[in-house]
Amino acid sequence: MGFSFRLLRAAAALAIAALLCLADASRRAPLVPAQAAQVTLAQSEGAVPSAGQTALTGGHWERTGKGHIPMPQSVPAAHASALLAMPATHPSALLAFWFAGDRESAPNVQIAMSALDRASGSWSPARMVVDRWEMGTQLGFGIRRLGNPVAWLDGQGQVHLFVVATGLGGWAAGRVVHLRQAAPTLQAPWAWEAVAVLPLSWLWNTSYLVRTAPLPLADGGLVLPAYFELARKYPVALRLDAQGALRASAPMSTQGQMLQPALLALDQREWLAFMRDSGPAGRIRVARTRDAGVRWSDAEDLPLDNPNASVATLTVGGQHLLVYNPQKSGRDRLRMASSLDGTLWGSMVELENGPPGSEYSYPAMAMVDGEVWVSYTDQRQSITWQRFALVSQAWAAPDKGRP
Amino acid sequence: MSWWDGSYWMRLVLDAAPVLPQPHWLPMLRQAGWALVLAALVTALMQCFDARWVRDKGRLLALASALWACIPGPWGLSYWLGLAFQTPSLMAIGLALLYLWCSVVQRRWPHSAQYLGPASSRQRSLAWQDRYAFFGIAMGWLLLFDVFAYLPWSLYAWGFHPLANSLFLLVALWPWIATGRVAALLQAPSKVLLPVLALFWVSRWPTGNLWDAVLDPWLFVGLHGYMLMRCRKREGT
Repeated sequence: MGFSFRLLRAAAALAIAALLCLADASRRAPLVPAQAAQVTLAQSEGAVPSAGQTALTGGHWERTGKGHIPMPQSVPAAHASALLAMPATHPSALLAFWFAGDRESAPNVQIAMSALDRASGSWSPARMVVDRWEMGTQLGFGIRRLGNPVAWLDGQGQVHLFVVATGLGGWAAGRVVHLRQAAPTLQAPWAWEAVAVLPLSWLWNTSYLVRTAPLPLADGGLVLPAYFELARKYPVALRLDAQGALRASAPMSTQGQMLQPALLALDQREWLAFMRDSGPAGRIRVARTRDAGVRWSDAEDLPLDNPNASVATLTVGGQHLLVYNPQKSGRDRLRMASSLDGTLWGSMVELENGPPGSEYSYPAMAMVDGEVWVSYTDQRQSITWQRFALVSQAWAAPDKGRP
Repeated sequence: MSWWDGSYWMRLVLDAAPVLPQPHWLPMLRQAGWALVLAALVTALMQCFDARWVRDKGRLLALASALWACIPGPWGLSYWLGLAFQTPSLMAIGLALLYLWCSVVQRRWPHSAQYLGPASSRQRSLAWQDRYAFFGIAMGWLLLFDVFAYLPWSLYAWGFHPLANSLFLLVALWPWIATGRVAALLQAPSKVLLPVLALFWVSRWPTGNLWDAVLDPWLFVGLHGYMLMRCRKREGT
C-alpha cells in the first residue's frame, strides 16, 4: 500500500514538473538551426574558379598599402588587434580595436580604437574607449586586467565588443564581457555600455577568453569562438543571437592543447576551426562541424608549421585566406596563404620576415570595398596594417609539403 | 499544431533557447547576496566562542561586514568579492538568510533540539540534509569535471535548459515523494530549495543557468565541510 502511494506521489510530482517544463519552454524563443551568412561581397570579384580549374589556391592578391595604425599618446605597448568592416553608408570604412598600455597585463591596459575614414583613407588618432574601472563600475564588480577585444556589428549597425576581463589571477582567470555601443555624445563619440559577463563556466565563470573574429550567421546572430585555458586548453563555439545574447555553446575539441579558434565557413553548415597548439606539435590544429556547430570533431592538422601563435581567417567569395606565423618557433615571420577547400593551402604573400627575436603576431583580417585588410601586432609596440587587392586569377598548384 | 502532437511539445522543450536575466538588478543582487553570506559566516564563526560578549560583538561585526558589502563601487566588499567569485548562488543566499533568521532573530541554533523538535524528527531532518549534501557534492564534482572538459557532454550548458528546473523541482519534492509528509518540505534544504527554484524561474538570477542558482563552488566546498563534520559526529557517537 505504502509503495503504491509513493508511486502516486511520484506521478503527481512528475506531472507538476512536466507542466512547469512546458510552461518554461513556451516562454522561450525557439533555437532554430544555425546557418553561416553568405559572403556575397567578393563573389562579384570573380574569386571563384571556373569549370575545369582545380580548386587549389585561388587568385593573386597584390599589396596596395602598408602602415601603422596610430597609437594613443605615450603608450608603449599594443597587442591583439581586431578589425571590423563597417557598412558602405558609414563614414568609417574600418574600425580597429586592440589593447594598449605599459605592457601586456599591465594595470593601465585599456582597449584602444582607431577608425579608417572612408573619404580620406586615413586612420583617426587612437583613443582609449574601454577601461577596467569604468567597466567594473557598470558591472558592479572589479576587473583586474583587460585583454583581447573582439568586435561585431549587429543588424542595426550597432557595434558590440567582447573583451577579455580577468578576475583573481592572470589570463587563466579571464571572463568574456559583452559591451555594446552606447549613444554617442560630443565628448565620447564612441561610448560603451557593459551588457553582461557571458555565463560560460560553473567555476566562478573563470578562464574563458576570446581572441578571433566571429562568424556571422544568416539569422543575424553570430558564432563567437572562445577558449578555456586553466590547466587544459580547449576551444568552444558560442552561439549568440542577433542582440548578442548567449543561445548555445559547444566544445570544439576536448584534447586539451588547442586555443584561439579561427572559424572558416566552407558552406552554410560545414565549418572549420583553425587553432594554435600549445603542445609540441607545432602545427595548426583543425576541428570540423558539418551541422553548423552543433557537433564538432577533430580533423587532420594542416600541414603548416605554427609556433603556438594565433591565426586569422577570412573567406572572400570562394577563396579562403589564412594569416599565420609559418615556423615552429619564433614569431618573426608572418604569411598569408590561400585555399579553395580549407585543406590545401598555397602561400601567397610574405607579410613580414624580420630578424630572429622580432615579433609579428596575432593577425586579424577584414574585407572592405573589395580589398583585404590585415592587421597584426608589430614588436608588441604598435599595430601594423597591410592592404591587398585582387589583381588576377592565378590558379597555381600548391606546395603540399611546405606551403 | 495539435495539442496531441507529441513532436511539437518535444521540439518546444528541446529547441528552447536560454533565458538570461535582466542585467539591471544584478549589481544589487550581488551586493545583497554577499552581505547576507558574509553576515551568516561571521555569525557562525562567532557562535564557536563560548563567551557571551564575543557573540554580542559578533552580531555587530556581522552587521558591519554586511554593510561593507553593500557599499557600491571599489570601496565595497562585494566589488572585490565579485572580482574573484562573481555572485553567490541563490541557494547560498537562501541558506545564509535561514541561518541568520534562526540564530539572530529567533535566537536558536538551526540544528538545536528546540528548533527541530523531538529526537526522531531531528534524526529524520538530518538524514535528509545528508542526502542533499551528498547529492550536491556529487553534482559539484561532475560540474568540476565538466569545467575541464572531461565529460563527453556539457553538464553546465544543461543548466540553461527548461528540463533542468523541472528535474530540480523533483529533487526538492523528494522528501514528500518518499515520506508523504508535506511537513518534510518545510525543513531545510527543501525549505530553501523550493523558494530558490521559484525565484530562479521568475528572475533567472544570477546568470540564467540553474547550476549558478543552486550550487556555487563555495557551497560545494562548504558541503564537504558539512559532510566531514557529520562523519566525525557519527564516529563520536
